[in-house]
Amino acid sequence: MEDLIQLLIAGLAYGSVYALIALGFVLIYNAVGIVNFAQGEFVMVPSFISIVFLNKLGWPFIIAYPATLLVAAVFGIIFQRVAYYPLRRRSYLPVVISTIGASILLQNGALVIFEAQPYRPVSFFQAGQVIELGSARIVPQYLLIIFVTLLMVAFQYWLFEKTIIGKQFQATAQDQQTARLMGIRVDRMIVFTFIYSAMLGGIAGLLISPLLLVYPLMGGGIALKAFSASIVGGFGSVPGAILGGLILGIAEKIGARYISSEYEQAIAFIILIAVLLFRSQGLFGEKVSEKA
Amino acid sequence: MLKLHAVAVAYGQVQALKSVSLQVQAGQIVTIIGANGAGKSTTLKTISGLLRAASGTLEFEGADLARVSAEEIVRRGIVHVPEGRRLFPGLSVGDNLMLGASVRADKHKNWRAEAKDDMERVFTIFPPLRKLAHRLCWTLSGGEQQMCAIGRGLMARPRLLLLDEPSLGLAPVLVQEVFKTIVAINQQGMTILLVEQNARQALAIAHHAYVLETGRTVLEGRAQDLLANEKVKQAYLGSTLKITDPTLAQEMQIAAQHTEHQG
Amino acid sequence: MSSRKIIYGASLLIAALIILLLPNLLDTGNMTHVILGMIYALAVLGLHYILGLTGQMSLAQAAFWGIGAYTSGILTTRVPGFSPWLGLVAGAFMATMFGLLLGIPTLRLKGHYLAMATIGFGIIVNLMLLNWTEVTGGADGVRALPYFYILDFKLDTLSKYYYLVLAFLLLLAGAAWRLRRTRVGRSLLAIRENELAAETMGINTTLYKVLAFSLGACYAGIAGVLFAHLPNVRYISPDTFSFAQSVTFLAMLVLGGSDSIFGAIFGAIFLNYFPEWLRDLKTGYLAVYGAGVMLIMVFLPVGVVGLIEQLIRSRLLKPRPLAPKPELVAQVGTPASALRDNGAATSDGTILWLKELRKDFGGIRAVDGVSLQVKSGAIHALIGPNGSGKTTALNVISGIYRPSGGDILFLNEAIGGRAAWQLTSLGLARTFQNIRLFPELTVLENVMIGQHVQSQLNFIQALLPLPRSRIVEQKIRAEAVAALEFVGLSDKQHELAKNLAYGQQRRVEIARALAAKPLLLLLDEPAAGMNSRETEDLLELLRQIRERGTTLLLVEHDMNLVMRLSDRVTVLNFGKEIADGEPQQIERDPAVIEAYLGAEVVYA
Repeated sequence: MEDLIQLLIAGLAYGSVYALIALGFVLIYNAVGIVNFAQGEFVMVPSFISIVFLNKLGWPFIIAYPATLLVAAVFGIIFQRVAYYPLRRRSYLPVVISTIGASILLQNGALVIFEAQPYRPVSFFQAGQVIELGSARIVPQYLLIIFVTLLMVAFQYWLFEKTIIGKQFQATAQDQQTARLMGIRVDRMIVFTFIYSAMLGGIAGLLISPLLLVYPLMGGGIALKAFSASIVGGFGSVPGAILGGLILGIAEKIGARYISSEYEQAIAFIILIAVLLFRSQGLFGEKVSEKA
Repeated sequence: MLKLHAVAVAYGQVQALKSVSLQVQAGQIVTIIGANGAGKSTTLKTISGLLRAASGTLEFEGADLARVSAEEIVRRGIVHVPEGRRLFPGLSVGDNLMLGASVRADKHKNWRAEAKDDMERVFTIFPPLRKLAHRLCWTLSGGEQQMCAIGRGLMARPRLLLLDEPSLGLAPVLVQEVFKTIVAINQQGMTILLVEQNARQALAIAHHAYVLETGRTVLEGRAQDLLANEKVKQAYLGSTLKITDPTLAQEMQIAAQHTEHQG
Repeated sequence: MSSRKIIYGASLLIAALIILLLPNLLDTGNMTHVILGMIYALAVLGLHYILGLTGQMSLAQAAFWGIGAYTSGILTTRVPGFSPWLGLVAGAFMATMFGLLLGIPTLRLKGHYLAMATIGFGIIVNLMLLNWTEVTGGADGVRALPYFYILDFKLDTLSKYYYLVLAFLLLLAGAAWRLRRTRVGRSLLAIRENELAAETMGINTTLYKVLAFSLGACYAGIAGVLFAHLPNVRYISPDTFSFAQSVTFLAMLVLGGSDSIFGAIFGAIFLNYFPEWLRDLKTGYLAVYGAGVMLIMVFLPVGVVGLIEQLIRSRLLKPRPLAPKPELVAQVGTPASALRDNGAATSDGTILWLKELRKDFGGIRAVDGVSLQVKSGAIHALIGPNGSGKTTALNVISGIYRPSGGDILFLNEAIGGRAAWQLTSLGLARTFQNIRLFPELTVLENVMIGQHVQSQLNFIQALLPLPRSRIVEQKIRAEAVAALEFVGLSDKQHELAKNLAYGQQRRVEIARALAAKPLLLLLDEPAAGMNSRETEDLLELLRQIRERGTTLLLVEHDMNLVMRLSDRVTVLNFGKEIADGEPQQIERDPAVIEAYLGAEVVYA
């Protein structure tokens, strides 16, 4: 039982991180119709920035964390401008390949600057620190991750459902041309989307880096799982991305414990392929048929 | 108020507009009629900035529109209600209306209060919308959607309203309603540029009209004159039937009324 | 012989000599890179089928490459007497099977979903190579693979191995080059250009996509085996067959130009060599490479070689239009005799019979119980206000939508619910309201694709230089030229379809549909966007088509055209039929006037 609680919490924590990154995927997809294959670098770049601020410059959390997110936002703008904007009138394939190129560039740029060995960021909790909860031993960073993710989900709900900016976001995602007819500045909305997506990645990076450590290739694997999460949940759906992330996170931890730890990294993809085969609209997605 | 001179537009290789010239006077209803593919919708899209003119001039209240973005044109006072309604399907009627007021959201502090007032005004023009305010738009019927779309356009407080095929796909009874509403909005002082396939109805309510044929304005005049014009009648209005046999006339009258009831 | 031909021939000769003598010109280090580049080129050629021709995204190419390498590696080291040649067969076979295994269920996914499924597959394969230690050797990989032998001749040096790889590259590139120019290759291109139009031309798009996918996997498998037995390495380990390698294959293809065979080869060899030139940057070269990929996407959408080929095609090799054969032109549109016999089977001459046809979209009933009979040899018009369900009805008849209720009888055979591609071979063809050509293909190729159901050529025949495949191809070409002559566009044969004027594109679409020799031709608003002159020409063309025995069912708004052309008119309103009869009757029908024509009725 304690075992199961520990696994569930670990699964929820990893799942939360997948969910945050998956949200970033989904927002960009909804806004401009492309899948950003450099989403992992939206996690990796801010993580390295946090290493600079926390480890190298020794800034306190209260300054380093907001500063990291600020840099993440600027990164989002630059990324939008360089990898997406010049190709915005082309089909999805050139844009996808451009984001793959960006991903290679950023990973190897980081490799040149920081080299391959991982960094452990200064964090709230000591490595190996646990909280005893009855007889279950819980890693405190997990609880922090779950808490922050809950906050972010609540924030996003408020932003999208309760503010005019959020409605304009949604309008842009649903029908760009008509949004322009409402006077909504669509180009600006798209930039906002990239900023917000990069900040979500930044938050995910700050949360996960004490556990996974920071290294140039850290983004690749985690982003692919986040992407799987968004498809499992129903691509394009915001609640689907969150639930998909949580499902994969929990399945991974439980599968690793009870089935095979060697294939822990494969579990997410096996679920993904199963979902694609049997319910390609995702668990919570709606089927959309193409019109002639 | 609005002046187009020799406007040409191309989609890639296809020359959609070759030479369109027209004028809209403040306070009028002006209509553009023509066959499918003649360029009516393209003309509206060019005015609202969704498409760029390759050549020719567009002026609104004396200012050049040719290089102005769609977002900016809305702020200048031209609102385009697109063909097929194009509501945001996943948002509620209220949200759609509020989005219509987007242009003022980033300017005024108290825009929300203003928008609420405007929404009240929309509800008085389209009473059924009040009850539907919380419904998601994709669940509305065609007629309700059209009301919402025109209402959303009014929320931006335009001085010129562009309506693209507002009667499209509506039952005959609703078509009458839509045209009555257009007249009512016009009587409150709104200038309207109307594109319609239902040429007879459009000409009946318009002050002035243009006929578009394969991307050119080929005819213009007072709407009543065009209504009487033989060429227009032939091409766009169908024929007038004179039935002299009294019994047949009576039968057909009954048949016609019958179909109206069914619709 | 012109001087240009001499220069051309001489440079070909020099290139061939360089390729043949390359091992004598390069040292071992460079030779390794060249051979590796050529092996990559094979895998990239495989991807060229999937992405370049068929337009499907795959990021699993390194996994198929690995499956080929490991199959041969394991079998040749564990099974006594299992030669690398057998390994090659086994590797290619396993890769192909996995291609089918992944392709069949996933190819109905589109774009990003497909890309994601292939990524997932690649990662799972990689994890299996790493963790299934008993079979794959785990992280240690497989060592000391045997050499290739040709009879007793041992291919133990790079120079010798070079010729083996070169032979495979020439053979497989040649096959790819052939395939591109046959019925099979054009079908793949049609899917890339416009899947829906391809389907209505009779192409079983699922089958062809699976074909492209397994062919691509097969190439990758062969490349994998050749990689595994590289004489100075003969060692494989899981990290070689990673997702990153799949991405590299993709980049190689895109760099060269995804639609070009030379581009695929060039991209592979160049990107494999590129790091050598950037050696001074050490680790930084991959960053430069990433930036390079982005720059290519922005500035060279067709790739390096693609661009060069386009220049050559437009400047140097302007092909001359083929002359139409008069006897074929005379037969355009006349249905094949076998089909006509079938047509005679309906005693009352009804070719198409809709009974209470219904189509719902969610809660909306777009077609609400429409019944009508189209008589063989007639021109039948379907009219009605916008949104009255005409186009939907046409889409249901042509198999794009499944009917929600009712029956569709075509030549007394119930066809409701059948796929569009199945209907084409029965004698049904169509055009679209918003023209759907294959924009990046030539006008001639567009019409040749229309011949799909009128020709037989399977993919083995397409790959091999058989006399039969040549005859079939020549016939397809001649028929297509004739169809273009019939619509008056034979001088535009080699233009890209996208570069034609609007009215001409409509004609190409009609020619493409006629190339299928349909009994019934469905036309969705053929006169939309045409001026009165073009409409007159269209009217004449449609009459000629009818005179040649093809029945026409058209949806049209231009009442003038409808009244002059049609033998029978059916009027829809709100998905329901409100009138059906001869044009003169329809014109006077009060219900029609009320709903559609909008004329005043004056009751005297």
